Parts: sequence; C-alpha cells; structure tokens
Amino acid sequence: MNKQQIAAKLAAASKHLPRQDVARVLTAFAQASSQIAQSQQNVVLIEAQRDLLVAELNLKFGVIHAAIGAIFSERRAALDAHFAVIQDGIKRNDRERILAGMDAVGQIVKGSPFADLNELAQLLKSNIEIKI
Amino acid sequence: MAADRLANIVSFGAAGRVEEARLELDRMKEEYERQCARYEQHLHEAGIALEGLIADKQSAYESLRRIRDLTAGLSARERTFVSQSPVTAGVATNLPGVEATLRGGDLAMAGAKAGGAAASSAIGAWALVGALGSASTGTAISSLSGGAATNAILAWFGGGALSAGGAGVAGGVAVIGGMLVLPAVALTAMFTHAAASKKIEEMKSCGARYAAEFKKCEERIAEANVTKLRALEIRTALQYALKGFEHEFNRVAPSFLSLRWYERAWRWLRFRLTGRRYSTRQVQLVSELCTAATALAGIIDQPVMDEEGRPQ
Repeated sequence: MNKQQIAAKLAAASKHLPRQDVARVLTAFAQASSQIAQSQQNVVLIEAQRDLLVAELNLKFGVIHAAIGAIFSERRAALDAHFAVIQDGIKRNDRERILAGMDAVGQIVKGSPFADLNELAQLLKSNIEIKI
Repeated sequence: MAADRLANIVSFGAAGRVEEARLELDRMKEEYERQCARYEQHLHEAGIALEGLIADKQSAYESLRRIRDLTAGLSARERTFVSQSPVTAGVATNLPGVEATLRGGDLAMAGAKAGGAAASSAIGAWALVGALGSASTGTAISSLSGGAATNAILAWFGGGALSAGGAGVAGGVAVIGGMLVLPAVALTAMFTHAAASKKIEEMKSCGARYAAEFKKCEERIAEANVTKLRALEIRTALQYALKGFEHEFNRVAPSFLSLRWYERAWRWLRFRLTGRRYSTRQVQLVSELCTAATALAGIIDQPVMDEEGRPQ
C-alpha cells in the first residue's frame, strides 16, 4: 500500500469517525503519555536520591562505628594498664602506686571520648535531603 | 501464579511493574524493621549498662561517705591542713570537692526515700547526669528508654500511600467509550501504564522515606552504642578506683574506728585540753585517705550524658 492509498483510506475513514471523539482521544493519549514520562522521570530522580543517601549512610556510619570502636578500644587499653597499676599497688600495699593508678584512671575517664566523635560527625555531616 | 499472569496480560504488563515495585518496597520495609529491632537491642543493652553504672555509683557513694566518720572530728585548722596537703602521686587533695560529691549523693538518696518514679529519677539524674536532680533531667532520662518514635514511620506507612492511584484508568475508560477497538486497546494500555507509573512513583517515594529513616535510626544506634560503651568504661573505672579507695580506707580506718576504751578516753581528754581530737599522725592519715577519696569522687562525679540525654 503506497502513501496515496493510505491517505485515501484515512480520508474515507475520517468520514465515519466522530471528530470530537478523535480530538478527545488524542488529547487523552497525549496526557497519559506525558503523565507516564513525568512519573518515570520522578522515579529516576527518587531512586538516584535514595541510592545516594544509602551510599552516604553506609559510608558515614561505617566510619563512625569504626571510629567508636577504635576510640573505646584505645581508651580501654590505657585504662587496663592503670587498673594493673592499682592492682599491683594493692598487692604491694604501695599507696603511691594506688593513687597514681586512681588518678590516671580518673584523668582518662574525665576526658570525654565524644569530642573527637562530634568533630568526626560534623565532618561527615550530610546535606542530602530527599525531595518527595 | 496463573492469576498474576492473567492480570499482567489484562493490564498490558502494568500489573507486573507495580508488583515488582511493591516487592522492592516490602524488602525495604523488612530491612527497616530489622534495623528498628537492632536499635531496640542497642537501647536495651545501653539501659542495662546505665542501670549497672547507677548501682556502682551508689556503692561507691556508700563507701566514700564513711570518710565522714573520720573528717567530722577535724578541727578547722586540721581541715585546712588536710586541704593543703602536698600533691601525692599527681593527686591534689580536695576535701571540699569530696564533700560536694557526698552532698550530691545525699540529695539523690534522700530523693530515693520518696519512692516511686521520683526516686529512680533522682538517683538516675545524680548518677548519669551528675546533676543534683531536676524534673527536666528526669524526663530526659526516662525518654531515653522510650524508643517509640522509631515506630512512627511505620505508622505513617500504614498503607494509605500504596492505595493511591486509579483515577487515570477511570478517566481513560470514560474517554474511550464508543471508540474503535484498536485505538481503545492502545489507550487502555496507555492509561493502565499511566496509573501504574503513578503507583510505582508513590511506592518509590515510600522507599526513599525508609532510606531517610534508616539514617535517623543509624544515628540513634550510634548514640545508644556510645552511651553503653561510656557507661561500661565509667563502671569499670569506678570499680577499680573503689578497690583502691577501700584499700586505703582499710589501712587508715583502724586508727580511728576500732579504738579501745583508753584510746577513746585519751582522745576525749586531748580534745578538752587542746581542742584537737586527732594526733598529728592521725591528721596525716586522714589527709592521705582524702587524697584517695578525691580521686574516687572525681570518677563518681563523671556524667554519662547531659540533661538532654546526649552522651558526654
């Protein structure tokens, strides 16, 4: 079927079609098409934001949890050394050793482990916000 | 299965797309629920650590307050001597500081005698925040064991958002009434997919909200974790410092507390004659014990959190 034949067939068919309905169908078709395109665009945007947030989340909290573990392990190791001094002081009845151990333990405990953590959290602070 | 295939055919594949998105959302919801359970577990562990710390601080306070039996007999001049005694092993004796620690404990224990929620609030405020106890502090501590906020998002996802959509299909059906068959099929597919796309978009939005909540949940987990670790750290430090203090107390106390009748008589006589209850050696011993008490009081006073419940 060549172009002329198609044009002739369409011209013949158009005589049987209600013009108003054709216009409504075409408009609805265009609207639905636009709606699908818009939704797909939104889905892509949402997925991208979500994936970015999840990736950032995994990275940030991976670092934070590791930092928490490292900070407290380091403090625990230092405390253990001073606990041993206290124990040894008690065993030897050595007042100076006991006091030195107690003072060192107090100094460590008084130093907040959160100063470093807060700084780290500030550094890792995210500005990602999902717009939905 | 056959019904799913049929639905997929009837909806020109739209049902399959919606189902896929729904399954993805269900997976995110399950993951979020697992994370909430993880948070509850961390909160529970932090609660146990904090309760243990409160108990340890009470024990340390009970032990420390025995020093009053010794310091009560000091004259003003002897108190000055004790307070100005030289630094031993890096510890400067701070008798007023020890007494301030004991006063804080006294207030908390007096509050505890009131019984009920006020009691645990008073002791909790003293042991965890280091404050002498205030209503706001009590509220902050009690709110720590809440955790109900994490469930708010689940309530938010009560299903309403997923049930949206469908109007496009109805609109489409109205428009295509009386049309030729082929364009009608094309349009049905179009409108079905338009409605499906809308539903999928809403489900993706819900999924993204879960992701945003993961973040808040992770922050709470980290906070509960550090609170637990900090409480355990202070507990252990307190236990060892208490051992040191008790060793010192047991060394010093027999010179004061287990006196024979003639020793008590001599002390009374000395007080009458000189205004001093203790010998120079005894004052020296009190001073030595106060040094250990200062170190212990410093750890007792160490807060775990501020008044808002943030780890310190």
